[in-house]
Amino acid sequence: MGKLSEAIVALNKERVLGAVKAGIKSNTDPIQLIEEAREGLERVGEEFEKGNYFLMELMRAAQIFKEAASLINPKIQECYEDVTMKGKVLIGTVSGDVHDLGKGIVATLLKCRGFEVIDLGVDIPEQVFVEKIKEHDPQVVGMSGLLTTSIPVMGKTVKAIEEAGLRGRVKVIVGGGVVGEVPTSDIGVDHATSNANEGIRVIEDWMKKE
Amino acid sequence: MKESLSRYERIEAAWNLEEADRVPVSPLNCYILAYQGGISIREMFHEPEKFTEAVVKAREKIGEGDQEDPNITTLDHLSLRPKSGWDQVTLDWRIWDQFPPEGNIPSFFEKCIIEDYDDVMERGFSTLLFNKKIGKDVFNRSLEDFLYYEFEYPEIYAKAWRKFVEEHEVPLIMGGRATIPFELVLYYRGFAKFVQDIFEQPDKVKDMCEFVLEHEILNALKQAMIMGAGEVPGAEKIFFQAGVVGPPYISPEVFEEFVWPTLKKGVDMIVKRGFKAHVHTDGDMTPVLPVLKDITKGLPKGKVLLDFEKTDMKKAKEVLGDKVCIWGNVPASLLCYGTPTEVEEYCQKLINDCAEGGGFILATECETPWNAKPENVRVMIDSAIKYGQY
Amino acid sequence: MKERVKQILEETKRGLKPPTNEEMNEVTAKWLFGKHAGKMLKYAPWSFVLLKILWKKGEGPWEN
Repeated sequence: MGKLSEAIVALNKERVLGAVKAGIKSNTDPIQLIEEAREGLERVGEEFEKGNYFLMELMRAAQIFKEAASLINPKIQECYEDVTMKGKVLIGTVSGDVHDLGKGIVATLLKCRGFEVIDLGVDIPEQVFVEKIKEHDPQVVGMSGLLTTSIPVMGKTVKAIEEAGLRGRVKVIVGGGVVGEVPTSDIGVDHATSNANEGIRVIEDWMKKE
Repeated sequence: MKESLSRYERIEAAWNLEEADRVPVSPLNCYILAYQGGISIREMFHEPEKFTEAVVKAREKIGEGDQEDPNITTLDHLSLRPKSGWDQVTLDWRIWDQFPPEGNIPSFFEKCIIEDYDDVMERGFSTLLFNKKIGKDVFNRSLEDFLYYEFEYPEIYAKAWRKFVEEHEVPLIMGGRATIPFELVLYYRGFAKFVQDIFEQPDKVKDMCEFVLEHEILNALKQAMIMGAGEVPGAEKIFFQAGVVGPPYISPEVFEEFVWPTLKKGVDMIVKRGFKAHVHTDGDMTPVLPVLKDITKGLPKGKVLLDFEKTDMKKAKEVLGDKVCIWGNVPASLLCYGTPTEVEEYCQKLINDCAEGGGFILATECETPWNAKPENVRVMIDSAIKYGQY
Repeated sequence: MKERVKQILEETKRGLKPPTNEEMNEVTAKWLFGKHAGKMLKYAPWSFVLLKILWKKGEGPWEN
């Protein structure tokens, strides 16, 4: 693991930005820089799943990554004309639920990992999910919810997507406090989890298979 | 089965780490009381007599726990001061005429309302209460409305609950409610900005926690006095809410450095003034149990309770059993989606793990969801009687 | 109510040291007015007229 990824794992912002600036100065390929930073972020995710890091650290790593990326990205645009994203994810907290925290963390992490993220916000009605799928054509739809009452709403939203004939076009993942404790077959989704990093991992695996 | 102790004596024994006739049971019922009692959220908020009547009806359906929650949050949501300054701007502020609601039950969510800690400590919260940028909805209410809900309604509310307690001999879970400073500040800043603060301006976060502490505690004590502390069983208890303070949200190190100092100070203030502290935690506190062990340090016995959500209860009993009464933790998902048999098995295991020697109250993980199956909540109560005899 | 319950309540009541009105005023003033609490309270209620000066531009309730 390089210096840059190590500094991200250590959550040391000064060292991360220092390494990025040094890299840019010595004309290191910016794609290599961003990949190394991403590797650090992935390691933080792994540590989170092992229980060594917590949501606060996960968020902090993403924040540091974002700052690093804001230095690296202009260089990438200078060197490469077109950079492809890993995939497109539509994400939102379902109708009847206004909790933002979990969804916000996942959206930030996905962006850092190189996904295009369309964040619909909170308390999103089923029909809005359907319309936005039509509009943006994502490969993955992520639904979030903290309340126990959100689980049947997730099921209903999946049904609405199905009725609109869009279910075959998207993978559906749901996340939130108690969501991981409910069988996925009950609400017709492809994956359910209460762990932010597990969610990211599953989405990355889906994209690799595509 | 004839029970030898009153509900309050049973609860008292548990707080005092003594065995009673059986394990006390106390699901933390909030909106489920209105739902199963057949009233709307509006009625629950504005008509306390109707609400307590609904509680009686609900208890027939979901079983009769040893205490009930007088839903002090309702009062906080309606008033303007302390938490309400917070509630007014961070709460999804719609009180529905029907139940289930078309939208949310009133829920908390974080939002950045403090831009600069120093500025708030300099100018105070008055600049946030009626701040045009922050809480537009505040202006939709009249002066009469504020004066009534701030100063008169709490007395009316307390009277209805006093009557309920006297008629049914069911003590209250709490008389006042406070939030730990760390969580208040988190809500005031929003999670993303708060994380940045912890790493980039840690001392400011600590100062801000100190700044809000005393006000938060004294207000809760005042609330408890209105609810009848010393006269109404249970009203002497302060529900000290500590939601987003442990894993998976924050690390044990951050807990120890940022949460613990004002949490312990708050508990000390409550107890030293003769009240009792019901410390309500969310998340999995297992890694910080060794720190929590000191929660009763320097305090008399029987004054503190720790309420757990995802914490390993068996471990909690091992570490804290001789120090503090523990409370928990039948999962919300089990109450909504499990079967009565599953709930019964969970309760039996909890009782086996935690009840020995007293100091345990069988309760829900956080609160009973309003959509919990009534038969599942009832099984909790039956399990305490069936498996919890001392 | 059982005798034992009454007894516990009486003991509790004797031990209570609820905040006095003065304490409540002080702590509330500190919360509301920050560092200006002392003087705001000393010259209340007339001092409350000065609250307007505490708001910065764009924050005031009278502003659009």
